[in-house]
Formats: sequence, structure tokens, C-alpha cells
Amino acid sequence: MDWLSRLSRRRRDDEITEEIESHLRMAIQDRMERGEEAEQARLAAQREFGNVALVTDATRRIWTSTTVETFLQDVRFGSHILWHSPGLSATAIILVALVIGGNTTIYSMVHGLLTSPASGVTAERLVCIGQISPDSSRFGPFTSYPNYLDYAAQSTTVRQLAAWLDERLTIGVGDGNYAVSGAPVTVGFFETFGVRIVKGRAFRDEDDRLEHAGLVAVISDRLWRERLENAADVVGRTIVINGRAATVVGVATPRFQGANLTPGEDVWLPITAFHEAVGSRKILSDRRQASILIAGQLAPGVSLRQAQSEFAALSAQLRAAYPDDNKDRRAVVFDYSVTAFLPGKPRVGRSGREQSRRRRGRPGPDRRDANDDVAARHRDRARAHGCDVVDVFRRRVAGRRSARPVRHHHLQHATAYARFRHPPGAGRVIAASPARSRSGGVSTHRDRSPDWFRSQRGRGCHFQARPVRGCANGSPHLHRRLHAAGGGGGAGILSARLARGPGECYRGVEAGMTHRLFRAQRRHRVEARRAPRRPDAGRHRHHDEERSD
Amino acid sequence: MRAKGGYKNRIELLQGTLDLIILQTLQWGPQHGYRISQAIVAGSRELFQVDTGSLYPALHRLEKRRWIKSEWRISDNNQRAKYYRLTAEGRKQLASERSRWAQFVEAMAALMKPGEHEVS
Repeated sequence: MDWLSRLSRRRRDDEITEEIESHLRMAIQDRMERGEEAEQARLAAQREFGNVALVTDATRRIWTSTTVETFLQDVRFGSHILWHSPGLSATAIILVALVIGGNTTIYSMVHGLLTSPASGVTAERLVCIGQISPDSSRFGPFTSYPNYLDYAAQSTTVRQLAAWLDERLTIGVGDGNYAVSGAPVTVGFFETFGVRIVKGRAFRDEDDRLEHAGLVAVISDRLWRERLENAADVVGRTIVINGRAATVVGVATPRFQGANLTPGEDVWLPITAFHEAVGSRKILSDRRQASILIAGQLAPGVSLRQAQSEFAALSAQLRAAYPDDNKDRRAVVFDYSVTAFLPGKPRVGRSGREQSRRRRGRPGPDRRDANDDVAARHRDRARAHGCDVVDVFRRRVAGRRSARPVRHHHLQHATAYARFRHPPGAGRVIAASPARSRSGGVSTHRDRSPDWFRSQRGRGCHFQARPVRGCANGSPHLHRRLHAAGGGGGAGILSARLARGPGECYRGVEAGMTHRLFRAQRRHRVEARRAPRRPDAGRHRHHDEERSD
Repeated sequence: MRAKGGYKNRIELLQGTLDLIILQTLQWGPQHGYRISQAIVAGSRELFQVDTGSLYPALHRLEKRRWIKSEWRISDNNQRAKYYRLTAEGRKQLASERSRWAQFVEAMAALMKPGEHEVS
């Protein structure tokens, strides 16, 4: 209890003071007995003793924790100042409150500006599709219109894909011509963003065919009020856009001035009809011309990551189909906000924790799933060969720097190992894979016979199953367990690699060796090349072959 | 009264030896702080100078470690004084400190007079 400890401390302080006083009294008495005068004896004793306060303090500190005491003293001193200077205290508190409040407000405003959707946009789960270089160093928000059409036709994860591009337009209304910002948009643009049309209607499919109804336009509430004087019959009225007559079919909600951060759009036109009208139809058929912005809504139950995977695969297909037009471009899906299309790298939906995990090479939940898949295949394969799988003992993820020459460097490999024991006489080699695979690590190999392995050895094929001694996991405990479980057979290690394509599309399972084993064998080859050939060289290899038989 | 020259000849205690000296002094019976300081000066033939600024913190440190115990008593000259006595734990500590000190002295002697040490 606090009061008890305080009482005890005070009593100890009093004792120390009394002890020192007693020391001085005895010293004085001694001196007086030796013939010194009382005053002289007192002064001499005090001189000999030294600084009484200092000695008292040093002795007292033996019993107390000075750090706590100093802190408490500081607190006492600080509260004393604050209590006795209310003006200063109030000023300090108000200043601190103002600084905290100001910072919070500024942060909230900036955060709101950066992450909120454009005014008038009511749709949820909106995402944007941009393009990024394979090494993620360059980001561009624009895509070509033909690519947009392909994405719109094939995507299942993002629905109602809308495209638009910002244009400066000249609009002729009544008495004069005005320069305004506008946007040729795809037909479902307003539905995609959930923008309400307060007068008239949004675009229909037939509006995008110039020959059907001529050029039509949806205008902003601002344009309607300022240039068309709130005309009640605005819908159906004809205005002139870039010298072409256009019929107003709708007026957008007052707050909507474009889906991205622009000076404020006032006119929206069907994209194909507009370009046909102004004679720039070519821009819509040129796959190299990345000039349009794309956004859409995530389909129900679809995550951003799934959409990213799909678009990565779609863009890979486009790259394969049109290599010249889509060189160094990869589609990237990211969350929509009014500032989403501004220059800078978009957040592609990975949390900081996930990014950190990836940097450390530890698998996230999705990779764990992948590893589990590989592990299950191991078990099945080993059992099919009469092996008794002990368990899957190690799971890890190899990064891009796989020892295997992988052409698609963006592939990442989930690797799992299974340990097993096999009965005497059972085939030991379970799976193999050519080390110099040109397939980029996406081919699937069935189990082969030992003869096949022998024939492949000269072609750089590396066996996967091998005696547990010297395996990647060199735990003595594991060895003991495996040998104990062996029962006259042997123990082995089995690994497989799951290649993952861009955007986490698992494109195939490859039975291969671990990179560590590969490194070891490569080192062995290098050393063998350097070292003079010994008479017993190659014994180990033959031994392996014999065992595999 | 002591001669002035006496103070000049005094030797500062080696760091870390004060605890041993106090324990050694208390092995002959309970003493108060003043008498301990007197005993050290007298026992060292007035060569050691005991600073009270070190003595009392050292006494309390030893008490905190439970090597000595204190109690208030009336001294010979009718003064109330705090007497310190050695505990069983303190005796063990003293034995250990003495053994270490003997080793230290031996090592120092060997260093100071290497020839004699080899011959012996």
C-alpha cells in the first residue's frame, strides 16, 4: 500500500539522520575527551565527517529506486507549475488540443479527397483497370479501346465495364459558343457509376450508332442551368458540339461533374457515335492508342484479387495475340476513387501485411492453399507407388529466383515436400522433370519408369525422389523417425512445384526438384568439372541409379 | 590530536575492499558506524582513511543484502547508536571475500616480485 511504503520510507530516512547525528555526537565527545574545546571539537568532527546532507542522501539512495523517485519528482514539479500558473496551463492544453485537432482534420480531409468517389457517383465496389509495366515500375491509367472491348467481352469478375476519355469540346448553345470539358463515354457509363439522370434518360445501345439517331448528348446540371437557362424542354433540344448537331437526351444529377478529377465535365456523348461524327473513328480501332479510361463494378462475391488475377490472365492473352501492340503492358485492377487515375503507382489491393509476407517469402493464405494442393498430390503419388507417406513436413514458397531456368520470371512457385517410406523392392523414383524445361515451369509430368529416368539423365533431367540422407531438411529427428518407420525399406523425399501464373492463376503442376537440390547438383557438377577425375568418380551417381531400380 | 603528516601518509582504500573490511571488522562483535570507522583506522595502523560518505552507504548496502543486521542500542558512553552485527550469510560472504582477497594478494605478489615467486 502506498501510505505504508511512504511511512516506512520516512521512518528509514529519520533513522539515517539519527544515525549520522549519533556518529557526529560520538566524534565530538571523543575529541572533547582528548582535550579539545567543545566548539573546536564540533567543527573538527563536522569537517572530518564531510557533507552531512550528501552522506544522508547517498545512504538513503541505497534503499530507494532513484529512477522512480526522479520521475515522481518531475511529475510533482510539473503539476506544481501547472497548478500555480493556470494561464500557462490553459494555453498549453489549448495549443496541444489545437495541434491534434488540426492535424486530424487535415488528415481526414486529404484522406477523404484521395479515397472518396467523385461527387454524384453512388455505385459501390467500383474498380479501375490501368496498365502497368511487367516490373511494376511504370503505371499508366489509359488502355486502348480494342483492349477494352476484349476485356468487356471476356471478363467475368468485373461487370458493366465502362470506358471514357476526357475531351475539350466546343459547344454552341443559343447565342454563343463555349469551350467546355466533356467525355465520350460508353453506353453503360452512367449505370456503371450509379449516376442519376434527373431529366430525360441515359444512353441506350442505339445511341452509339450515328446512323440510327444522329449524335445525342447528356449534359450536366450546371450547363443546363447556366447556358440553357433551366429550360424545361431541354430534353430533345439540339445543341452544337464541335460543329455537329447533337440532341440532348438527358441531364445528369447536379453533383456529377465527371468520374475522375477533372475541371468539371459538362457534356457526355456516346463514344463511337462521337468519333464517327468528328471523323476520328480510327482512334477506336488502334490497339496501340492507349487513351481511354476503364472502370467497372466487381461482380457479387468477387474479390479485388480475383479480378486482378483474371485481368492479368486476359492481358497475357492479349499480349500473346498482339505482341507488338501490347508490348510491356499488363492490366492492373485497383480500387476506384476520384484520384485513382492520377499519376503514381496504384495500390493493387495487397495489404501491408501481405506485401511484407511476400517480401519475406512466407506464404499468405492463398499460397498455403496452393501448398496444400501440392501436398495432397504428393500423398496420392507416393501412395500410388506403394509408399507410406509419413506426412508433409515442409512447405515453402520459392521466389522468382528459382534455380530452374524459368522463362516467365513473374511466376512464383509454391513448393511442398512430403516424406515417405517405401517397402523393399518398391520403385524409388517417383517423379522427375527436365531441368532445362522450356515450358516456364508449367508442364505436368506423369510418373515415369526408372528406364525413362536413366534415358533422361543425359538430357539434364534431375530425379526428385532420393534417400532422405542429405535431403533439404537435415533434421536428425526426422532421420530417426523415417528410419524407424522404414521397416526394411527406405525413406525418401518428394517435392513438387506449383507454378503460378501472373495474377495467381495456377496453371499447372510440375513435378520437379527443389531448388536447393538443384543447386547442390549444379555445384557438384561444377566441382566435378574442376576437379581431376578420380577412379571412384561417379560412384554416387551409379549408386543412385541402382537404388532407383 | 593527530599530526598533520599522518593524514598525508594515509592510503585510499582499494575500490571494492570496503565491504570486506567492514565484514572483517564486524566479525569480532556488533559495532556502530563511528566505532567501525575508528576500528578500521586503528586496525590499519592509521594508514587507511575511511570516508564517511562511503562508510554509511556501504553499511546500508550490506544490510540490504542481509549480510549484516542492525539494531538501536545504548553505547558505552550512553549515546543511542545503531549497532551492526554479522549475519550467518554475512559470515559466509566474509569467508568467500577473504579467499578471493588471498588469491588477489598472491597474484599481486607474483606480479610484483616474479623472481622470488618462481624460486619459492
